Amino acid sequence: MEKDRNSFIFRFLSTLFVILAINFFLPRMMPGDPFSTTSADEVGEEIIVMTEEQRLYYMKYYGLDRPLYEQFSKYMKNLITGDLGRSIYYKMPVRDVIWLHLPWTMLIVMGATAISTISGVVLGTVSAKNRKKGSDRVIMTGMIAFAEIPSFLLGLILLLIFSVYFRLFPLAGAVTPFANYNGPAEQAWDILYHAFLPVLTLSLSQLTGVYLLTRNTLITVTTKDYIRTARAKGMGEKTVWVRHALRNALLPVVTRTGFMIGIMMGGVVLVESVFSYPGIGMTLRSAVINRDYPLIQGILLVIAVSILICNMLVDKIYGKLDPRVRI
Amino acid sequence: MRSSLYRVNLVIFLYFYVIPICVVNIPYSDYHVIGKVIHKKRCSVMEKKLFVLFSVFLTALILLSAGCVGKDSAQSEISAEETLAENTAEGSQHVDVVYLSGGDYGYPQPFTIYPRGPGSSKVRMVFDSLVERDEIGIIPWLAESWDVSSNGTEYIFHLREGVIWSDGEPFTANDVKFTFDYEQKNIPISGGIEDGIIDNVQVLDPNTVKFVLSQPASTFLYKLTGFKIIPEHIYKDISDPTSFLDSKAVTGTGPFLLDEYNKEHGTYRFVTNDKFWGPETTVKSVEFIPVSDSLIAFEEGKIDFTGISPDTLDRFKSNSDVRIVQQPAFWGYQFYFNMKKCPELNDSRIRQAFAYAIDRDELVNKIARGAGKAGNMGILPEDHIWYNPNQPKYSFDPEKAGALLTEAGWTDTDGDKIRDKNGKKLSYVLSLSSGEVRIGELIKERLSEVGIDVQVKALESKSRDANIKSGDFQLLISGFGGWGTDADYLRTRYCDTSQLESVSSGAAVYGYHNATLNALGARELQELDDEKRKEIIYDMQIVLANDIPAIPLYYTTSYDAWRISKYDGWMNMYDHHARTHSILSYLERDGIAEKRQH
Repeated sequence: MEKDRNSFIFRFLSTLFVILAINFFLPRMMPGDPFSTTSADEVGEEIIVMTEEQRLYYMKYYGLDRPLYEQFSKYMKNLITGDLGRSIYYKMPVRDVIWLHLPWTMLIVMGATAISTISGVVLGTVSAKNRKKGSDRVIMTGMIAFAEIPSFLLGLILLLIFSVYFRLFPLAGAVTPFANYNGPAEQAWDILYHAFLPVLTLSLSQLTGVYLLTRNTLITVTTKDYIRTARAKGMGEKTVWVRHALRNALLPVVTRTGFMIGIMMGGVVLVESVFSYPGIGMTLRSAVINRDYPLIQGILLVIAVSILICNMLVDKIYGKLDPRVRI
Repeated sequence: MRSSLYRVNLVIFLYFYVIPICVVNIPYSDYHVIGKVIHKKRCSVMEKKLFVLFSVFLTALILLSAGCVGKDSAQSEISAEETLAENTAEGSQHVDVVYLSGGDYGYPQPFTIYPRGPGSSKVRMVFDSLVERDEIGIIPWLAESWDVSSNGTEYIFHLREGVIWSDGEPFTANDVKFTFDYEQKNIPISGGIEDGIIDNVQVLDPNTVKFVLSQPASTFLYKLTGFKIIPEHIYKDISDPTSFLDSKAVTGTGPFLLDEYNKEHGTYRFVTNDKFWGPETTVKSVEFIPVSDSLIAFEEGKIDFTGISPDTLDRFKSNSDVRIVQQPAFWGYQFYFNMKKCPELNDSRIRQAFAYAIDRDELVNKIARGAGKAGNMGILPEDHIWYNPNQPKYSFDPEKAGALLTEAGWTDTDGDKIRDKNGKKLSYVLSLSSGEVRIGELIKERLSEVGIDVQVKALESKSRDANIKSGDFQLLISGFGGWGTDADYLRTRYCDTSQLESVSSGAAVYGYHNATLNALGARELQELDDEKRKEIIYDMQIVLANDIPAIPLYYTTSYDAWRISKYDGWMNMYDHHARTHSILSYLERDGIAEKRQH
C-alpha cells in the first residue's frame, strides 16, 4: 500500500515535471517574441508597433534576454515558491489573471459537464429501454444531428434565437456591466442568467457522446447473463435497470466525464468567443497570439493539473462503482 | 466586422457541411462513433427518412436564424458603390451617458495599456498632451502657444495657467520635464518619444518649458500629440510603472476620470473631471461594455455607436435616427518585395510588372466585397491629407506587365509558362498569414498569367512578423493600420538612411535603396514650413510610384453608424479613422482650435 502510494506520487511528479518543461520550452520555440508584432491580426485591428529600442528595453525588463536555461531555472525556482511570474501582455501577476478568468470557465465547464452527463444518461436510458421504438428513433436522430454542429455555430444560433428574437437572455458577458446588487442572491441570479446560454451550448455539444455511450453500453449490458439471472430471480424491472444494468453501464460514462473536462477546456474557447464570456480560453488564445510566455505557461499548467486531478478522481470513483478495480 | 465573419462562416458551413451531410446522408462512418453506430445498426428505412427530415428542419432553422444571408451578400457590392444619402436631421449635442463597445485593453495609463487594440485612446481620456489633433491639424492643448527657434532645434512652450491634476495638485512645467526624463528610463507602451530626437528639456519658469532637439525634426509637434504628461508628484516614487495599477496611476489633467475598470469583463467607465481646465464635456460619462457582436448590440440599443461593414448598410439606410458616415480608409494590406534575397527584384521594371499584373480592383471586389479602395503606388491613401493625386497610376494591364518583363530580359524559354533568364526562373514564395490566403491565391492567379510563378505559404501571424523582422521571405503580405498618420512614414519605411529612429520594418531590412528618395526624405525631415514640406512629400510619392518598393494592395473602408437622438457630436482627427478615439468627440468645441498656430 505504502509502496503503491509512493510510486503514484513519483509518477504524478514526473508527469508534472515533463509538463512544466514542455510548457516552458514549446512557447519559446514558436517564431517571434512578445514585442515584435508588425501586422494586425484581423482587418481593422490597431496595433502599436514597437521600435527596436522599445523592444530591447522590454526584452531586458522581462528577463527574456537571458539564456534559456537561466530563465528555466528561475521559472522553476519561482514556481516552488508559488510564484507564476508576471504576464507580459496584461502586466499583472499570472496568478491574478488566472484567478480572474478561470472561475468563469470552471462555472460553465462544470455546469455543462453536469447537465450533459445527467441528461445524456437519462436520455440514453430512455432510448435503450425503448429500443427500436419511436421515441428511441426520435432521440437518436436528434442527437446525431446535434453532434455535428460546431459549438460556435450552435452558440450563435442560440444567441440569435433566445437573445435577439425573444430577448430572453443577455447578448454578452458574464454579469450585467456596472450592476449594483442587493445581496448575494441577486448577484448569483445575474451570474446564472448570463451563464445559461454558454452552458447550454457547451452541454448540447457534449450531450450526444454521453447519450450514445449510455445507450450502447446499456444495450450491451442488458444482453448479459446476470441481467437474465436478476429477472429470473423475480426482481422488479425498475430494480433490474437501476441496480444491475445502469450501474454497470455507467462505468465507461464516468471515465468519459473525466476526459470530457479536459476536452471541453480546449473547446470552450469558441463558446467564450461567441458570448464574449470572460473565461480562460480566450485569455489563453490571446496569450498565444501575443507570445505572453509566463501566461501561456501558467494557464497550461493549471489546465494540466486540473486534468491530472480529474483523472485521479475518476480512478477513485471508478473504484467505488466497481469493486474489482479498487486498489 | 465580426458579424460578417460569422455570416461567411455560416455560408461555408451550410454549403460544405450541412448540405453534404444531410442530403447525401452521412458519408463519415469512418471517423466518428456515430457513424459506427449507424453503420453497425444498419438503420431502418424509417430511421433514414426521419434523419433526412430532421436534417432538413435543421437546415431551415439555420437559414432562418442566420437572417437573410443570401440577400445581404448579394447586395453587398451594390451598396458599397452607392453613395450614401446624407442624413440631414439634427442630432443631440449633449448626453449623460454614451455606451460604447468595450473589451479589455489594459489599465489606462501610458505604461500598462496593451499593444493590441485601442488602449491609447483610453489613456487619452485621462491624460493630456501639450498639443492635440482636430479634423484639420495640430491644435494647442496644455500648451497655449509655442515659439520655434529659426534653426528649428528649440521649441519654447507657453503652458496654460491654472491647470490642476485631478487630485488637486497644480500642473507645472516641472511635470513636463519630469515626464520626458522619466520616460528615458521607463519606456511607455505608446506616446514615448524615441531616442535621439530630444536632447534635453528645460524648465524656464513654472509656465514655460523649452525642448532642445538634437537636430531639426518636422515631425516633432506631431509626435508631441501622443506624448501624455504624467504627474511628477505621483510617478516620482514609482520605480516600476509597468506594475503600477493603483487608482493613483490614473491621475491626469484630462477631461475624464476613470471611475471604474474591470479587467475580466472588459468594462471601463469614465466620468467628467470637474477640475478639467478646458471646454465642458458634452458627454458626461462614457461606458465601455462587453458586446458579443457590436452590430446586434447596436440594433438592440445596448451601444450607441458602432462600426459597420458595407454589406449591412441596408439595415440602417432607412432609419432616420441613424447617421452613417464612411471612415477614412486608413487600414491596408501591403505587398513586400525582398530585394536582398532576390537580387533580380532590384530591377524596378520587374516590380512595375507586378503592379500592372496584380488586379487590385479585383481584390477589393472579391476579398473585401467592395469595402475597400485599391492601393496607390505612391503609398499614401486618398484620404491622407497629403495624398498626391497626380502620380503615376497603374491599372490592371497584364500585357504591359508582360512587355516590361520581356524588356528586362525575362522570357519563357523552356515552355513551362514561367519566365526565366540565364537559368533563373521568376518563381517565388509568398508568405502571408492564414487569414490572407485568399488574397494570395488571387495574386498567384494573376501573376501566373504574366509568367511569374508564386507559391502561397500561409503562416501564423506572429511567425510572419518574425520573418519580416529577420528579412526571411521572398514576397510577403502584411496588413496594418495607421496609414493616415504623418507622412514621415514614407521616409522611415522606404529610405535606408533613417538617421533618427530605429525602424522595425524599414527599407534596410528588405534591401531597397533609392538615393533620390533618401535625399527627399532628409529634406522633408528638416523642413519646418508645412507648405514646402507638403511639396516634398508630393515628390516622394511620385518617386515611389515610379519605383514601386512595395505595393499597397488595398485600404479597407468601413462605416460608422450612430444614433443621433442619443449623441451626435462625433468627429474625426485628421489622421485617424476612429471617431470614438478623438477626445474632442466628447467636448464642446468652443474656440480652442481657433488659436491654431500656422
